[in-house]
Amino acid sequence: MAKKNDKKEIKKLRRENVEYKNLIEEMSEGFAFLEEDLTFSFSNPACDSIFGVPEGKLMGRKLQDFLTAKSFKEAKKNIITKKKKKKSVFEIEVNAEDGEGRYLLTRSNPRFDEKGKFVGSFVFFYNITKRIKLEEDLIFERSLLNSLLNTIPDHIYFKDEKSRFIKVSKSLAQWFNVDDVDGLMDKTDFDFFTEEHARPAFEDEQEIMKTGNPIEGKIEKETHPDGRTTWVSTTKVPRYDKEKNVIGILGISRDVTEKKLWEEEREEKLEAQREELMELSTPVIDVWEGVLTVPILGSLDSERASRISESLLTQIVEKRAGAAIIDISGIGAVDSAVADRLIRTAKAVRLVGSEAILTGVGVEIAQTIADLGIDMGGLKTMSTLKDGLRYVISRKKEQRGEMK
Amino acid sequence: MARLTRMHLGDILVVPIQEELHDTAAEEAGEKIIREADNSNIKGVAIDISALDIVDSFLGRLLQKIAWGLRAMGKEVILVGIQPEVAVALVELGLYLEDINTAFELDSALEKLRGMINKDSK
Repeated sequence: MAKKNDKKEIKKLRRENVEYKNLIEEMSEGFAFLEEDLTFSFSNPACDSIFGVPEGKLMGRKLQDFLTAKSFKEAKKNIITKKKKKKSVFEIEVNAEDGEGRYLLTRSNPRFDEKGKFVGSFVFFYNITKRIKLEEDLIFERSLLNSLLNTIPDHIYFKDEKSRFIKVSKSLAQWFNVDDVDGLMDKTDFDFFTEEHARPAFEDEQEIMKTGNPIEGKIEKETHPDGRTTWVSTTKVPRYDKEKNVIGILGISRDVTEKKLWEEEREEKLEAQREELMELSTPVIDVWEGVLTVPILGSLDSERASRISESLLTQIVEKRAGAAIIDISGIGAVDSAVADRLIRTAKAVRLVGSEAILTGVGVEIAQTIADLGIDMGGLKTMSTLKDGLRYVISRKKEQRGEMK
Repeated sequence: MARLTRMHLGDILVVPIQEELHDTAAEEAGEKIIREADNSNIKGVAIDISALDIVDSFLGRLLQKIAWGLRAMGKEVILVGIQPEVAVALVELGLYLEDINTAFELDSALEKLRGMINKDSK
């Protein structure tokens, strides 16, 4: 009976042994038995493939053949020196023989004989390369983002759907005179700008989130609570989550205050120069007692014409000039608009109480005027400035004679 | 109603318009001037608008109307002290007032007016 039972027991054990062996062979994790000097005395196919060797060829090799120096230290510490009856879990980096570098989560289980002597370890290897690579990528990308946020002088800011800061560049914190970027968290533009800038900026952002349309290179006037005014060129775009829902905005603002001030200054200078040029180009000359002359040189556009008219009329009234000679011998060309302007000026001159005489009407200009069909209507014209003066002076004499 | 100053200097009526006149007030002023001039002793009228900085098309046209009315009554008319801005505005409105005499100030206006009246009486 006993013998029969033994046989049954043996058969059962044998079957179990085969099962265990199959289990180990088919496991997706690497499994190995490492002797005290880290020689592989057993490994399953998954383990062979992790270390990049053909099946069964790991036997007799040493773990250190595959490890980086740092990982070897780690392995020695956890597998050999820790001979206590304690499992240890650690990570190692291996240079597999198929040319791949792999990260392995390693679980070591020390084994002892009946006398309690350490004989080696059962070791499980889990390939965690993918996870580690992902972490490394994340760390790398975060370092890129941080270097961007810490060094770029442009103000970069991420805001949530209520336009609250959730991440900002160092430059923006400095712009607000805040020591640390964390000082901006959950704050809004209203905490750092006056209403004059904060309100339209907030409305812009809400509009961007509503429509999805970004703002590009908008020149904004920033008004600070301390009375400072700065100018920035701002680009803002919507931010989305995985489901494409808008969750906030991302913005970059560049300080263009200096450029803006420079532009304004330049504009002022240009305006001043233009004014000066206008004055220079429309000199009203006091040629004779009660007689003013305006020699018009170059081209005459409507702005210049109205300036001439303005300055001539003012001086006529100021000086009580009885006559004004408008000399156009130096004018480029006469078209109907210019002729119209000249006639209007002459008529205004008469209205204030003086008389206008147009001189320097050469053959060419006379022909142009005739061709254009313009009626110089009652306007006194003379061919040369000299003629004009002669006419004015003789008339003055006449008037004096009349009075006597 | 706006007050309208009127002065008689011999046979000349002087009307200084001191404030901007609008619509009915302007029309009333015009009527007053014409009534006042409707007197055989008055030979000429000087309307002084030197106090006006602005003249709109209504007042511009009214001035023209008054001048024409006075002339129809056989009176000489002169506009005095049209400011440069006013002159430009009138021209822009197309109101050249070409048949109406002008003068810088009352002195020369009276002189001119006198000359015109004398010519008439010759």
